[in-house]
Amino acid sequence: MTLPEHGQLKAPAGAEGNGRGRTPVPFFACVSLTLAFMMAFSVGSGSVRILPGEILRILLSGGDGSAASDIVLLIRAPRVLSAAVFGGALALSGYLLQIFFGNPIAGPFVLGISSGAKTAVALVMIVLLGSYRQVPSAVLVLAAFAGSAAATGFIILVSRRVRHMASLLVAGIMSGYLCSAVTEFLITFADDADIVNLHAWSEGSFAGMTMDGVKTGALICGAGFLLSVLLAKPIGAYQMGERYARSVGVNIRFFRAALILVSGMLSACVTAFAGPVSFIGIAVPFLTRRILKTQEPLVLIPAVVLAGAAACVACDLIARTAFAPLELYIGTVTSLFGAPVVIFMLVTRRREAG
Amino acid sequence: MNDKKNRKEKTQCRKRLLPALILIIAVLFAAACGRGTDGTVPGRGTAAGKGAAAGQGNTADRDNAAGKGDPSDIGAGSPAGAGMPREEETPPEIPGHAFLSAAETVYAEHFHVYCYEDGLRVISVNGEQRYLCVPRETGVPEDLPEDLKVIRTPARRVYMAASAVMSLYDAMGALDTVRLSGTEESGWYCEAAKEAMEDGRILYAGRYSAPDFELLKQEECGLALESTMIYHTPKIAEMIEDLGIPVFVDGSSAESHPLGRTEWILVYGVLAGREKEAARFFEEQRALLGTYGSFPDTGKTAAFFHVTSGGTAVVRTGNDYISNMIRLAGGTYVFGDLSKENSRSGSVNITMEEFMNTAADADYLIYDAAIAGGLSGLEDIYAACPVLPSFRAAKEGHIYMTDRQLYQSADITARMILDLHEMMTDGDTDKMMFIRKPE
Repeated sequence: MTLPEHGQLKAPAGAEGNGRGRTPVPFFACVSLTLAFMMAFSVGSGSVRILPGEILRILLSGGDGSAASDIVLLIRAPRVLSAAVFGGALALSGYLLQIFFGNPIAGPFVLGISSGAKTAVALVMIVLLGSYRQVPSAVLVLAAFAGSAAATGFIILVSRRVRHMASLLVAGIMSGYLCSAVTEFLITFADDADIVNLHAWSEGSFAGMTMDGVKTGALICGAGFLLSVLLAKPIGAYQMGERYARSVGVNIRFFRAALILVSGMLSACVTAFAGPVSFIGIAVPFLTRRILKTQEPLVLIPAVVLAGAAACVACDLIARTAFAPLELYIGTVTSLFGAPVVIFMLVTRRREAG
Repeated sequence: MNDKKNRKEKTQCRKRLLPALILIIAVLFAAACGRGTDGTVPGRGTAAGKGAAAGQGNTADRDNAAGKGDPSDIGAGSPAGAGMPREEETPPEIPGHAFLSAAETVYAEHFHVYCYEDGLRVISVNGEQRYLCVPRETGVPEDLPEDLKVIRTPARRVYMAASAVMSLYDAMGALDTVRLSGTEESGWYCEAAKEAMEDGRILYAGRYSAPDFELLKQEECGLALESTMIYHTPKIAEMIEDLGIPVFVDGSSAESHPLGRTEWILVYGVLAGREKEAARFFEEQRALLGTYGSFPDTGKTAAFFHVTSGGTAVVRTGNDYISNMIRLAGGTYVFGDLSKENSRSGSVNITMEEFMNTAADADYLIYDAAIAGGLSGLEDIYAACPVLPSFRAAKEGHIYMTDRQLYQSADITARMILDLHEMMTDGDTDKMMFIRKPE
């Protein structure tokens, strides 16, 4: 991974510095429509056939206690909403880290955030479950959040000492290795059941999501979105180079800590509720920038959120319907369908450049 | 000045890092102490924990869990397993229904059944999970203790995600109350379950960790029967309960006596409304054990094991139900002193060296092909464990392997004891149901 100096992100082909590329209106219209369609299609899809009119009636009336009503309101709606909220959050988290590192393939989990979460979940599954046998799901959610937050905190501490992005990246990767080592150490003493379930958790899933979980997640992710919008101006300056940003009054140390904090908060929230969902955080910001050919943060922030939400809802729909009633892990789908798209775009980009 | 400042900062940094490092080491140590093995292998006194450290779980078990049942079903069975043996507990008070009696158990140590007026029953598992079974024709009492989960009995249209329980349902003729399965048709070795799925009487509804909630709701599922694996995915259990479906977690895998697992049929008799049939079946099994099970000591030793893809031997602990079966069959289990505290599993990983040291002189070796999978003959077993030909049992032609249906047959464990006795007395191998001599 080559890192441009001072975190400057190389402008995609067609974009001029920090200038605006294509007009974003068609993109926003297209992605918003796709998201709305995917959400509607997702709420309408499942192993039980419920007519669209019936779904609409249930959604508008708030439910009547029937089986169809429970399916729509307790199973499908929270799941689709959580996929949208967390997909958008992951993409935004990835975008912020790509700005931070000035590298288009940095992802939310490159700094060891998911490894931190996995270690904390392993502690709960292996140590706590060994003693108490049964713990509520909130404990797992809190553990994953605490693990992610600890990893993020570590990176923030290191970022105060380390100037070079490459060194920070290495510190993040090392922190990931350290967490993985602790997890593997715990696994040594784990039962087979612990290992199987830890593996399943680390693949991510939106199964079993409740409306309360969606509300909490939306609150945290919404705060992350607002903070990102507030950071848009310094992001724009930072993209022009650290020296330039400093010259226009950006406090670089504070700015970098804020970027990691917001990005870490977003990915920690997603990991806590759904487990580590790979790929969305790397691919969506990359693809969005490629399509929009702009570096303008105020355009890209809402754009990656919408695109991330649409991609995640689509992947979740595939995960739960492709082999129903068997459900695929969300990480399997996001990588399986996302990676070829990125490879294709990279190859076509080379051709264009050639 | 700057140098001084830098040095001071570095010293401060080190001072901050030190407590963090100490904390990490302390947490790891505490975790290891909490979960570690404390067993010793006879003859050597080497901590099995060292062996365990060599293993990182095993692929076969994971595969098994993914498709063919789950590890907690698969013979997990230390008494410390899914819970400590029950302690004396007082039956809960049910408003409006007087307590009548507590059903006595013979071998099982992990459940209580309390009987109340009007046919109400309370099933207490390890004194922690308590279920109030209310007959459909009776109203649900009000002001119940908060921890009591209500199940309407007989529970209909059950979602069976605890694969070991299916055979117990089959044994008491209650398969008609099962509507949904957490195991695919190809994953069942219980013939009746396989047939029911073929005929469409039982539908596949997704594995325990990601069930098809919509199907559960649509099919008006009356009860979700889960294995202890569900404890790892609490949000799934909570979601099922949010849909108004009670979740019952099978604790039979914690029983150390082989017939203790079978005795859980009495619990399922209550849930399925087949108490008489369940009691009758259990008495038959007791009688069978009485007839065949009190075998005198044959003076033979046996090891029960499989080898992971990483080359680690996985053996049963000394207090596991399979180890107890070997003892009841008149044999001595060579890893009898091996234990693993606080484990829900009855098995432990040990190094190949340790395995050789203890099992090389065993009279009989039983390869756990039901877990390892993909093994059909002696060549496969030797390929999985290349040191085996030098073992005494191999030289004498005393290697056996388990059948795939072993862990889904909680109903006929007495028969397994008979098989083991046949093996150790060089009896007729054609009579064996669960183990066979590989070609």
